[in-house]
Amino acid sequence: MARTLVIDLDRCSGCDSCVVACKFENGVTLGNYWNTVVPVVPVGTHPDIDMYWLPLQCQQCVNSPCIAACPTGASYRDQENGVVLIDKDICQGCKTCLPACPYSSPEGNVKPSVRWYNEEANVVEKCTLCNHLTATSDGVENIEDTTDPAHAVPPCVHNCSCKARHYGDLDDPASDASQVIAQAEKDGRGVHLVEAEGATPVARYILSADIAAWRGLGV
Amino acid sequence: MSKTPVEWLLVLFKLLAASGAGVLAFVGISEFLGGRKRTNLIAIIIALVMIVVGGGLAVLKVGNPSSVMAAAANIRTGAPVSLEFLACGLTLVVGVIYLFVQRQEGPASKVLGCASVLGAVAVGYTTGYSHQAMVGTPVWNTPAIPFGFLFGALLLGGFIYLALSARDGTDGLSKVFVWIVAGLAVLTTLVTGVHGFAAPLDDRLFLYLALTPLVGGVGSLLAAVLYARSASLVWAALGILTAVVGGLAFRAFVWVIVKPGLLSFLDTSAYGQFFS
Amino acid sequence: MQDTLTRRSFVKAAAVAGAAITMSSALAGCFNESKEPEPSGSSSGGRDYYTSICHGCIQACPCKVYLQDGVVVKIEGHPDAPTSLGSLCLKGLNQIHTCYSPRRVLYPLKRTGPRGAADAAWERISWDEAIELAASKIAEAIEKYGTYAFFCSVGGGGAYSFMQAMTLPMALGSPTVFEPGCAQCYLPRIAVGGYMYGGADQSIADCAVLEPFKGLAPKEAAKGVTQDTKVLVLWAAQPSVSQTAQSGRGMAELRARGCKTIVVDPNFSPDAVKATIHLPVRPGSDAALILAWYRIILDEKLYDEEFTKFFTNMPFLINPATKLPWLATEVFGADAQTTDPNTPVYVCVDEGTGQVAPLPFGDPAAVKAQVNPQVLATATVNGAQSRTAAQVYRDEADPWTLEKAEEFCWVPASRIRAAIDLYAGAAVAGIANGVASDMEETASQVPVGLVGLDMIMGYVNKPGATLTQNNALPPEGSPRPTRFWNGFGGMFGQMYGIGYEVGATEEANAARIAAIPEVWDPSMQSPPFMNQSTLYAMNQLLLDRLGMKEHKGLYEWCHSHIPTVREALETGEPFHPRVWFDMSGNKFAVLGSAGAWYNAIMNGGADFIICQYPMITSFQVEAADLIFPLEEWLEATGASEFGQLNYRYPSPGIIHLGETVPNSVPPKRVCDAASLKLNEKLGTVTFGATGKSMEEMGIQFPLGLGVLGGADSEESIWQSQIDTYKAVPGAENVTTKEELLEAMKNRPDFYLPTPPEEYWTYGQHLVKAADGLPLGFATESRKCEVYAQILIKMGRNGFPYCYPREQAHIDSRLGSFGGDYSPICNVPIQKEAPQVANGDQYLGKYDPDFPLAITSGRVYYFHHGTMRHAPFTRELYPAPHVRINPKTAAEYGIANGDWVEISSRRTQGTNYDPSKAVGTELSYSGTKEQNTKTAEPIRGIAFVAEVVAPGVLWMERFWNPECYDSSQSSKTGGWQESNINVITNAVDPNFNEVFGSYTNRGFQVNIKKSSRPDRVWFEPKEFAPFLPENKNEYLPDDIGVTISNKALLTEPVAFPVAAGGEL
Repeated sequence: MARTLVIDLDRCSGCDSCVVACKFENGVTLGNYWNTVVPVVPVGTHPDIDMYWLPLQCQQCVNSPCIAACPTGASYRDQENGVVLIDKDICQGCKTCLPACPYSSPEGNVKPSVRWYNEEANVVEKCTLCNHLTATSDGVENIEDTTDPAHAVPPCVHNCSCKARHYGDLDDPASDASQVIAQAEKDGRGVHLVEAEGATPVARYILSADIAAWRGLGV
Repeated sequence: MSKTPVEWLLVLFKLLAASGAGVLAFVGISEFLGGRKRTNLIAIIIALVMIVVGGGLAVLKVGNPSSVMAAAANIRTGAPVSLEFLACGLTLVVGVIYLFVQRQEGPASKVLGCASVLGAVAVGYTTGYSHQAMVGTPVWNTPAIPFGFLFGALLLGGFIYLALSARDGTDGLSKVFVWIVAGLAVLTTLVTGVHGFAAPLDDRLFLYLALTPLVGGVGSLLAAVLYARSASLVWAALGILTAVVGGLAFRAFVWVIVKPGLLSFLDTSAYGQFFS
Repeated sequence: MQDTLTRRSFVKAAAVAGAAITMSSALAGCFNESKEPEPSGSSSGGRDYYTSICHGCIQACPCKVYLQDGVVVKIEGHPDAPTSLGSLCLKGLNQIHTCYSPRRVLYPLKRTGPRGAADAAWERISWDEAIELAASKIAEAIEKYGTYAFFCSVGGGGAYSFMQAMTLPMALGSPTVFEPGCAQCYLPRIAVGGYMYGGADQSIADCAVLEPFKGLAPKEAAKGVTQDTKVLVLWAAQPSVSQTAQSGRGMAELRARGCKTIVVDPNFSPDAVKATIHLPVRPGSDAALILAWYRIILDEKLYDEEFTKFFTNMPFLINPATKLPWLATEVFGADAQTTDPNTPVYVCVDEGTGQVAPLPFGDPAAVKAQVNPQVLATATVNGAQSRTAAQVYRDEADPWTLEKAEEFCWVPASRIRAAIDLYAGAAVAGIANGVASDMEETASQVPVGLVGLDMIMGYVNKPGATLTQNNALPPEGSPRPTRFWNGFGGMFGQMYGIGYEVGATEEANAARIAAIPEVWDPSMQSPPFMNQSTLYAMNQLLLDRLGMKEHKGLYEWCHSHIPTVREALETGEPFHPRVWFDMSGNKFAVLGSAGAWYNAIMNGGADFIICQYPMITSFQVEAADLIFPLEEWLEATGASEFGQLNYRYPSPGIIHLGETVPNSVPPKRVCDAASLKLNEKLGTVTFGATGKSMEEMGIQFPLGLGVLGGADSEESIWQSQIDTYKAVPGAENVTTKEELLEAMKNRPDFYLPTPPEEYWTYGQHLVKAADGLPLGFATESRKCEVYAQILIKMGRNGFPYCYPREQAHIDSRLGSFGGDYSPICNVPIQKEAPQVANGDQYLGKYDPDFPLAITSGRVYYFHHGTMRHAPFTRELYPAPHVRINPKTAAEYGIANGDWVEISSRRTQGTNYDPSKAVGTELSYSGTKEQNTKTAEPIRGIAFVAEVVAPGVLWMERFWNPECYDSSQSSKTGGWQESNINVITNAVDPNFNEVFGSYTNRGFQVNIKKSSRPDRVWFEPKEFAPFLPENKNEYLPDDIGVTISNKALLTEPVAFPVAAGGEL
């Protein structure tokens, strides 16, 4: 079970529509962002430059350091489909998970952290892959009914203005996410992940060399 | 280098609880080196108070007692913070039992003594390990932190015990205690010194080196040697002071250099507010 | 049926009276986050959805709107839309926060305090009182000062009140209407498309260019519709940003299918990031770069020889005296006119004989048998040394070698060459020309050059090209194509008879005018309201239009020249427009040199200002005396023509708040009420500058057709939706609004497709016409006029617009083509430019006080003046980013993320030393002293990266609604703090010759480190007051809006508990 987002950076134009779609769907408060589109700013000197945008959200790590560090068991893995989630009723806002997550800022209050501290609710929040819509979905959207539980996708995927975002279980070859990776590899387009010491992210990013040279988050 | 505010409540909890357990450990050691009943009684009480107050600060930070219990009960996941709370809890239990058993002669107090030492090591080490185990903060991933926390805490616990002993007259107090404390001071100096040079501390490196390995380590060693020459409350107090300064500084600086990992390049002032 | 109801689509839409077009440009919002951030969307559960279409920008993405207990809870893109394919950008998503915004105007408001934002106060009045107040103010002014005392203005793409704003002034006898876009946005390109081949232009934004997006949708591909565009040039355009989910999605699909793109843009825009070749041209130097393309393509014969020879006027020999092509009759006598008189025969050099010969129009094979015209040639005709149009072009392009272009345009020669090879080497390619060129001194030269390039390459009416028509092919035997002029594709020409029908003979035109009866005869079929006195009056309105003597291209939409209107407000010369009805969002955010307009108004330039908009913006809070509340697009029933490519989607009003109305209602009701009052005084009301009374003129109000597209009420607009969408299977017997909404509920397929073969059509010009020849094009020569000969005549007497009367000749100092409008691309003097090597003869005097070149462009977050109040947008983009190259930033000691201050001649700088000024400029109209300071410098945030060249800045316009929020201790209008339009140049005259376009892009500024302006919100939490409240009560005081009188705020809205409302 490896449900995740696969994002095609050849297409992503950094328009932030995914950020707003997520906020409306999940009622995310002002100043908190369950995903952030990071502009990986150009290297080289004008006009010989390249650049790309990298939408960063919870990477659904296989070794999930957040679950390992969470003292109360609020960070857990969904029994049926293995998605890494946070149970709002159990979380006490102790923020122990924040230093544990390589993709989060220690206080969960500055971009591009993937986990955020919600002050009003005193809980830590993050992208849930809209599990309330997609728990049993293969990510191949049903045009006739976008709420079809077998095919629904998160609103950030549905509304993406470039069709860059794909959802699915990488263990299911028929899922949209798996298919887009397979096609990218066939087309010789690079399939990357955002390396981080001690984490094994499931999220994948597709980027062709002729658009830009891969450099993760621009480190 | 993304700078993070220091979580002072956690810093104080980790020092208080671990050094409280340290005092308990020395009481345990005295079972074998010949300690005095009266000193040990007061020592155990002080240890228990320190652990309870420390735990209270942790509860304050997290917000409510039930979650601390949940954390401790959540042992099956092996979450480092759970281990930390569990170690404190068990050491507290050991201390309370030791309080009653301590008066009786016989093997019981020796068993509790050993348990206390183990408890102290557990508390000391886990307060550091809960940093080291944070995968997302590679700069914490060094054994110097758990061992630095452990030796620093035992060192402080030792000085407190020596102070108590000095108050009750030092005759009959085995010199070995002092050498143990001195040994701990050396170990603290080495471990925190190594960490200082390894961790990318940016502009505050000298402040850290001055406070922890120098004052906390060498200063404590000096206090221990002086105490060895003439066991007096003054030198013990000096030792407590240097150990506290070193302990607090080390635990605080751990927070300051939190994130030179993946996101460190994002100096939040520049990129923080614009991602478009 | 056109893609979206933009200004261009009116050209396609027949001038249908009552085709009510409603929409307001601002967007909507939803409810505040409850304490516990429960995911607001449960997967299905109790939610109905309706099909609608987003009006968040100039295009229109079909969407599904989910309703729960009568409240809109979710909007998502419609997966079956042919270009957006389910995408919906943040402008569409934020409609929920705009429609339910606590800042909405839901009732007619009358100003009770003084003008100016500082202590603006409003009083709620009834609709009847509001209409009466507006009508009486207009009637009083017209009665006292004549019909020219009233004027209108409208917004750009997305405002949708074009028809009302253009026809209301004419209905009340006034010649004055303007729109900040128009000459600065789309007019030049749509006009040039008409001048050069009578066809669709090169704008992607306005849906003139649709071919590239053909065949993207799987269901279309399944019908065999192919995707043919393989090479696309985006010149000064960024569809991925400006039309995010429609053309933006289209571009993503195109690139994914291997289409190569060339992007010409000073800024490293997202389209430039993904481009095969990016040409970061120096702002304002596009014309020179275009000539460099011509020079190579002509010299190396890369052009389509047959099309250029037989379907363009490039081989025509030009009479050096008249600058017009020699007619065969002038050289060879009357019998050389071998084709129908409406298809003149011109003269060329025969490549075979080297002799001057007649060049008749006809099928290339047939004409080739008679003459093989030489493209580049010079010959003596009637004793005069004459060059072919192509030779004129080649001589103009002569200085612009690749090396010179690199020096002048700051683009490496190797990249220019690679771009030309990719463009010219393709089987078929196409150029898309964006708005940037409309906002520069070269507003006519650039589109003329770019359309000309596609023409000589033969990329016209072909699959994969950008110059395609997207309408059903004309049947065989159709008459020779002609084109009417004046107002959106000749709408006024057809309605009132004004304007020369290009392509018809002079005799035919004269006969048409003569046939118009003295008095209107109801039995006449069309055009209605046609009589000599109405014709004369309407023609007078054209001749008296402000600024039209110099800039006759504005007749294309019959809009007045904006700086001249402002001067009329300042000086009362040549007449004083006094009562103003503005139908848009924020004039101070989008008018160039906004400070000059503010000063003109505040110094008494306008007696009474009426506005209509869903929100209070800077313009209303500073200047409006009366505001009509408009619906947001979730409330507004739109006209039936909205759609995407060949699919039409409904635009139903799904919810309704307060007493808002569609934007077509107030203009109609005000016009009728004012006409009623004025028709009682026809003897004493003088018709503008004529000095004659309405009675003497034999006309009454409303003149001609009245308000086109006006509607008395929402019901009549619903009728157009019902009549259209009855055709959807299952909706046949729909008669009421409720039934239509019921019929479309939860239906994924509620739209009307047009068959592909009636939409994706090509070779219109090759269809056999009635005279046996190919149809050709709706131009004088029946060919593609790369040498836009119509522009020569236009400058001299207003041809074809003012026919049958004549407008005066332009000031010859203004004409860049030897005193005439240039019919080809040339490089006029750029008034404000940086120091450019060897560029002096093409650049104005360099002013060291303003060393940096600045240009601008849109960002995803906004469309024109919209969305600055949407919290989920402002927290992502709280203030405008000023893009600076790291070298330039270092020179000025500026770091990434610093607040910076930017100044230009219009604001000078806080440390600008007037004594150092380069002296007053000699404006072309005499020694008028140019004290051009109109406002204070503006501020933005430095974004330091290699995304622009050294010495070049880039910034989007901006305004801050929070500056007059009643939570502020002291207030400003919010239009001065960070608005690039304060420093743009609409006061220091160097307007484009044909269209009068002032300079919004490519002028000179200075920059220095600064600080955050007062009152401006920046941290995400600060935008909380803009979040909807959904409380079942009037708005509490502490939220505060500029409205001081609590009684007039939101009427209780029934928000059920499930949607966050309290019990």
